[in-house]
Amino acid sequence: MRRTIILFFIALALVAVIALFAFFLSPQNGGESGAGAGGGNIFGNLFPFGDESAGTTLPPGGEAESADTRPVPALRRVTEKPASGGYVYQNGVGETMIRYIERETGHLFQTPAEGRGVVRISNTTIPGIQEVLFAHENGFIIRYLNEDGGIENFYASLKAGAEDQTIGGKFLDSWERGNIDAIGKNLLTVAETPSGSSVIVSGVDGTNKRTVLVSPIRSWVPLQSDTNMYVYSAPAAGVSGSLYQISNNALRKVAGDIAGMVALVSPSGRYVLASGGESDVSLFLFDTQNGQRYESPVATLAVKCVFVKEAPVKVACGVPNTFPAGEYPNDWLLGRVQFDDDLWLIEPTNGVATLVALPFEDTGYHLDVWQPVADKTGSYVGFIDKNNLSFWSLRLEKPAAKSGTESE
Amino acid sequence: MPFRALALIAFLFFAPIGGDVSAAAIPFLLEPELQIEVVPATPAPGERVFVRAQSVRAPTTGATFVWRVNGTVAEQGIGRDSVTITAGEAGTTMNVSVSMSENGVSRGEKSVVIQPASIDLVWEGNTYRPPFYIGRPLMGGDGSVTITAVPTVVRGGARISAGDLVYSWFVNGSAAPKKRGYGVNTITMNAPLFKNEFVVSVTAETIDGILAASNQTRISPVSPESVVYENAPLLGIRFDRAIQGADTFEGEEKTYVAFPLTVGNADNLSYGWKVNGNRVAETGANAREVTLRRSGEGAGAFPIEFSFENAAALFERATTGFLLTF
Repeated sequence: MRRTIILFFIALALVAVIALFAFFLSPQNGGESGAGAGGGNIFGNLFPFGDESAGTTLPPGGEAESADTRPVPALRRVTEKPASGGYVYQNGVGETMIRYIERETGHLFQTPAEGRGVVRISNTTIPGIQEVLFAHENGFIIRYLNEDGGIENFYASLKAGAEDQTIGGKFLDSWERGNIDAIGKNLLTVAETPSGSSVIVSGVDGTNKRTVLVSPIRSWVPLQSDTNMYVYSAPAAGVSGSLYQISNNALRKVAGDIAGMVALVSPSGRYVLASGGESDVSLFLFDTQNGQRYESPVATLAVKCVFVKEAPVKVACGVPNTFPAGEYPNDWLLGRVQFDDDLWLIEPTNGVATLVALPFEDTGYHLDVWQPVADKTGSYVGFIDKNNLSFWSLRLEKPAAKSGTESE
Repeated sequence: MPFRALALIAFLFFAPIGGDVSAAAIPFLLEPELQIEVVPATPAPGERVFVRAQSVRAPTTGATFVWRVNGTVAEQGIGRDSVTITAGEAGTTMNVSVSMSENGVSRGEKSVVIQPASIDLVWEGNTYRPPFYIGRPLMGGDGSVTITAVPTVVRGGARISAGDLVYSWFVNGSAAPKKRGYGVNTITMNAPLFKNEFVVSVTAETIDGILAASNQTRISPVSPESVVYENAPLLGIRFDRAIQGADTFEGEEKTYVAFPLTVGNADNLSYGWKVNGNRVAETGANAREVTLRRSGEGAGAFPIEFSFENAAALFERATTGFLLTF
């Protein structure tokens, strides 16, 4: 009898050991070692919500709403929940995909621009990501506040083509503001120092750092074209601002002298979109090749726009129906005012603005366009609605299908 | 009339008695001595420049002026003693000359070289900003401001480094510079008179003084204020939406976090929260944060107030509030 009991407990222990192995080696529990460039689940030990069970919304690797075959509207609410940022791109077969990070879990999801299925790409739980800077679909910088209130910058990398994987990567140096160029190659950051700031360029993963400007001003806002680096003076209502190109540790003025200026630089660097004004907000396009300045027929803040094409130059913008009383752009940047935007495609050089979508009429939502991004073909725009942090996509035109069999 | 009459008077007055004076000496004595005034004296690229000819010895009324820009006639006419031109790009040279004549007799010629250069002034208050906020830190009435000059001065096709110019800084149009020196392209200063607006101007010139640029900026110190956000459990601080006027209580508890604006150092402040007029005891490490929990049933509205104060500073204090409805 005693021997039987001992054998029973040994068998029980073996079953328990096997069960534990099965649990810890399963991918969704961080057991997939070496996932991503950095390998390992860094955040699993840092956050109380690192447990996979905390934020799961989908079956691992599974698709949601895949049975929904309704056509996707041009203006689409991609997420019901708040998002931290998103990215629109064409995969290997030319299909336009949207990737976004859910803000309460930090999980990366993917959905086709013209489909409704949603796939979870990463399962590492990082709640409360404030900002995401995408280099490409598998590499991005997540920014969040640590317990001391400081900003953490983490370069996250994923394996291409895999689903439900653990985020790899590494923590980057401390910096306050950053910008990744349109080709996803370089990261330009402004790090505040006791005597001002250091503007540093590096690879998006923080490698190959090089200080390009040391300045007594700490509030510079960095921008990049594909080949050049810029900073503009931090915006303040009623205070003149300008954009400067960084060259040989010096600043060369590109455009500006606009009160309350915020700016964007086109990928080629030829065009600068800037907004501001003493009393009312206006939107301007500067052609740095010929020195021409064009005023847009509709007015908005330049940071509510994204370049979608350069020949001829086109920008897609959220344009407020009205500007509530306030000091711009600061009140909007501080979240003190919200806008009710329509979506416009603007060709400033031709003085043409085309109304693309009326969000409230089309969807029943009042949208405040924030952090807009465009795919490289200029066919789709993604953005966060600042009113509720949901992620949206807007189809401007359907891109031509790419032939080939390469899969993502 | 003027030149001929004056010439005659001058001739009679100055001519030595019995002397043998040649006729050529007369125009020398009566040369109107043209001067050219350029406004602004240090034009920026693309700026409209007003150039005027003046004579210190004789009136120019009735005289004919011919203005040339880089050798090409730009303006001419009787009494046309000024011209307005547009400055070229930085580094370009524009030779502006004027000749004056009366009744076909030349009365003088003068030229000036305009070499546009510009200088931007970028400033920021040495004050605290909330994380992720890209707006400019403004200046408080008892704070300081840093101003840096970004010059565009070109010589021989090459930009002169900001550190290779001589700067003179002035405040509120003072005659004497507040600061002057080679490479002094940045100045940090306190508000001259608390919250009163002030003007800072700068001139940057090459060591030889040939090239110069100047500019000024107006700085208005502002009062400190604060901004309140919800700190949601999984979403983090909702910097996208400030709590203003009113907010609705949903769920069992809600956390708010406040940030001061336009204060020198957020760590030097004392913070306090009030609910319904009653001070909330500090419970956590972050005094800028408060967590409110629902207790009991029913509905209601409570005023929530956040304030901060720096006992060592005159203006660093502010209060903000909103109505929380259950």
